[in-house]
Amino acid sequence: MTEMTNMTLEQASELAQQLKTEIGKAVIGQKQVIHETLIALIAGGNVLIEGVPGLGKTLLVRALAATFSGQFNRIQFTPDLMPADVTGHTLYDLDNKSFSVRKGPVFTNLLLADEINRAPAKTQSALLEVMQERQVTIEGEAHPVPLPFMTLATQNPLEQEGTYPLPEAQLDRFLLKIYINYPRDNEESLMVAAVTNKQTGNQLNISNVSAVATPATIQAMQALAADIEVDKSVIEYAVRIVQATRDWQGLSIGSGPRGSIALISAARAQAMLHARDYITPDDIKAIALPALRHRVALAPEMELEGYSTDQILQGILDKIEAPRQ
Amino acid sequence: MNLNEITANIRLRNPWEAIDLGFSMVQKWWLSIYLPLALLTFGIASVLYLIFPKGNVWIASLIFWWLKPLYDRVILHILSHKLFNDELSTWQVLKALPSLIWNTGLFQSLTFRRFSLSRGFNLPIWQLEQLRGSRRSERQSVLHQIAHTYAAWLTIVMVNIEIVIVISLFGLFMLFLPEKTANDFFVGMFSNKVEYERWIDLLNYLFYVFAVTLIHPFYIGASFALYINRRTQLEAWDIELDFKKLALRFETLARNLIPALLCVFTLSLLSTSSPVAADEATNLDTTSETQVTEFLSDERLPAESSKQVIKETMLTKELNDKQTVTYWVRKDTAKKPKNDPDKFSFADFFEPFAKIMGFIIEFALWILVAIVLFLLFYFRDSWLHLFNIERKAKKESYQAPEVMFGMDVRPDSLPDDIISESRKLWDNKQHRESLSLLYRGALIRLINIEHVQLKDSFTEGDVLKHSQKKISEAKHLFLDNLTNNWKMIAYAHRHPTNEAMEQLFNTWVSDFAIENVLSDLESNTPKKDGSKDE
Repeated sequence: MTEMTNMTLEQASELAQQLKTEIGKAVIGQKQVIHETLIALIAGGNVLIEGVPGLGKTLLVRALAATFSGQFNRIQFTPDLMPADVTGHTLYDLDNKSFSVRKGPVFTNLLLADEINRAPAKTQSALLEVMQERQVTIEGEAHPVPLPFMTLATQNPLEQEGTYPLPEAQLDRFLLKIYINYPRDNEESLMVAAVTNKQTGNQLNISNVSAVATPATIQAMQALAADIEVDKSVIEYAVRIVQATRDWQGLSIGSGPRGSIALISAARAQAMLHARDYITPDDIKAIALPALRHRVALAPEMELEGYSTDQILQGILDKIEAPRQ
Repeated sequence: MNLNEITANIRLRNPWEAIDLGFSMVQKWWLSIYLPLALLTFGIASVLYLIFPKGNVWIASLIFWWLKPLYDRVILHILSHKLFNDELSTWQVLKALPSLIWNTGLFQSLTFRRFSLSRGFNLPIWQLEQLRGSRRSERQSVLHQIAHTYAAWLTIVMVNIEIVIVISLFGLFMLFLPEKTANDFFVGMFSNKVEYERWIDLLNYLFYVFAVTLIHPFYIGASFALYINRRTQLEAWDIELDFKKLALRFETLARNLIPALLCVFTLSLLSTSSPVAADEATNLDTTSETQVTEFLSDERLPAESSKQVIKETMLTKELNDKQTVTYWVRKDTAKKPKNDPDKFSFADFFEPFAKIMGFIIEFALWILVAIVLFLLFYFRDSWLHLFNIERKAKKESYQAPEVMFGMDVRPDSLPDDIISESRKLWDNKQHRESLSLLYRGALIRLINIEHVQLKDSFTEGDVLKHSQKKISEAKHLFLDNLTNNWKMIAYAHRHPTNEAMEQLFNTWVSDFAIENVLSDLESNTPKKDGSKDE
């Protein structure tokens, strides 16, 4: 395990590669998903993962937690889940004759909010504070959550019956929305072989993932990423993209300023993963789809014609002038 | 465009109702439409008739027909102004002609879009929305989703009505001719022996011009109404209008409330009659009444009585007309005379064989058709791309852009000797300018000499990726190196070392601009000392 809180950019990039390798031991394939999740972790953001069940979302989060010996909690969102089940509550202690706080599952490093759209808005909103402020208020008292903190919420694109679509305000809090797809043929064969080898039952096997970092190292990486230089022209490029989403034909709702902020902070993490201490327009372009796809809404006619948000966003990226001096 | 000013009754209609609205608009504003239109059409028709005299009047007719998109524009210009309560004089319409000719995509409409069946429906996108290029085609495809079929059928029906009117007018004219002349004419027409007569030509021409002038406004009016209706569907104009009226009413109410209350108060103190004035104030008509609507009765019947009216209408003669049709039937079809069984006939003898052969040939033909269809499907890749003419043409007609990324990328915008210029800048400590010049030079080379198709939206990484397959490995390596140095100075504000820069200068000459050197050597006399250009 590496205990480095004062690291160089190269060390941080190397460590990120190690994290990827370790996660890759448990999660076979899905390289893009792992890459984007790491970006979100380093940028200190939250991710919304969309994909059909059984593609290894839980495994990904557990493996990620194992790589830096972080705490991991999982909440299965159901229609009867209450906000207090998520955040925690106070309880009257008869012995001490006082109220004691029982912290909920959000007090962890990595929180997997499974099928977040199955719970009503009230419960979903319980996550808003912790996602934004990194603290939970119980009975008027703010309790900070352990850092680094990241929420990984998942939702299923197929079953819409009895679900509560996430409100825009909450969607905006996610740094990235990641699509997880079916694995490729060869990856699936490898995965089946790995999962069934010397295994009874179908519990997730993360025994071969070793911890290569600590929560403190991750925080150091986050601090390093936040320090990466950004040129004015690159910020302007990000803002141009986000502004274009607001009056683009084919989009009924454009992204707010959080979109530009997300673009820049995710691009910083992307640059750090490539051991660069500055970001380029390429970083913005590479991260634009996951950073913006949940912040815009397709116009109904485009939806009827079968266009996806990604296609429209790609169209914007193809039209917006890249910075040149 | 101010929706408040709209003079038609905007509500969600089905497409046929919308067409009806278009007809009503033309009937309502006929004078404003027909006067300038007739001046234009008969003016053009007269000029054409004078240009193509005797024997060639059909060319004049053809050109007059071909120019229909021009008349479309004039009619739409008038209708669109009238719809938003803007009165145009004939002179104003004629004065607008030049801008209608130049700014409404007339050239396309007269050339490759001339045979578009939804011409009238698409016109407002060109003329009123002024959209062009991909935005226009996207808009058009959205508008077409429901209305296209109706717009196309409208065009077909209207063209037929024009023809019907021409033929009817001709028939009417014939009625007034002496019987023999008319008879001779018709007989001659069917036996193709009509002698050329100038009056027939002129009459045909005149009738055609008249029919177009008469019918065309209805076509454009109906197309425009279809367009308005589609936009009402998409943008909920009807709801917006209702909300605006509501807002206006509330505003008036609020404005009148305080004086009204004061009035009530004063009057109650004086114990006189009730405040009628306050009531009147709140009942002010705040909406502009619609001027054009469909032909609907002022009185709305209750459901039962309307049922009765419908029943009565259905019993009228027009809807219950029965006809007896008689036609000739051959007498001998019922009974076929039988051949004499004793008499040998070749035809009878070969009949079964002929039937079998016929069957075999038919069967073989069907198999052939199936095979051809299968082969066409199997080799579809090799012939389907032939239909992709537009894309192909686009690809072939790629022309190097002159301005890109906000930079002048014409080859002559560069200094003659990039390297010595860049080196000079570098020596003057203008590092950024020096690298910028080099990178711009590289882009210009990629665009103009290597023919790499670059777009404004390309980042440095995209340029590298797209040029990879177009240029040699050595060149790509240099471009990669140059891009990295450029990105470093542009985004990290750090300049490369003198050695790295020197290497860039040298590699530019030895690897990247190599073809340029060769072509220079070919065009000029070779230098004996082996010194290189650039």
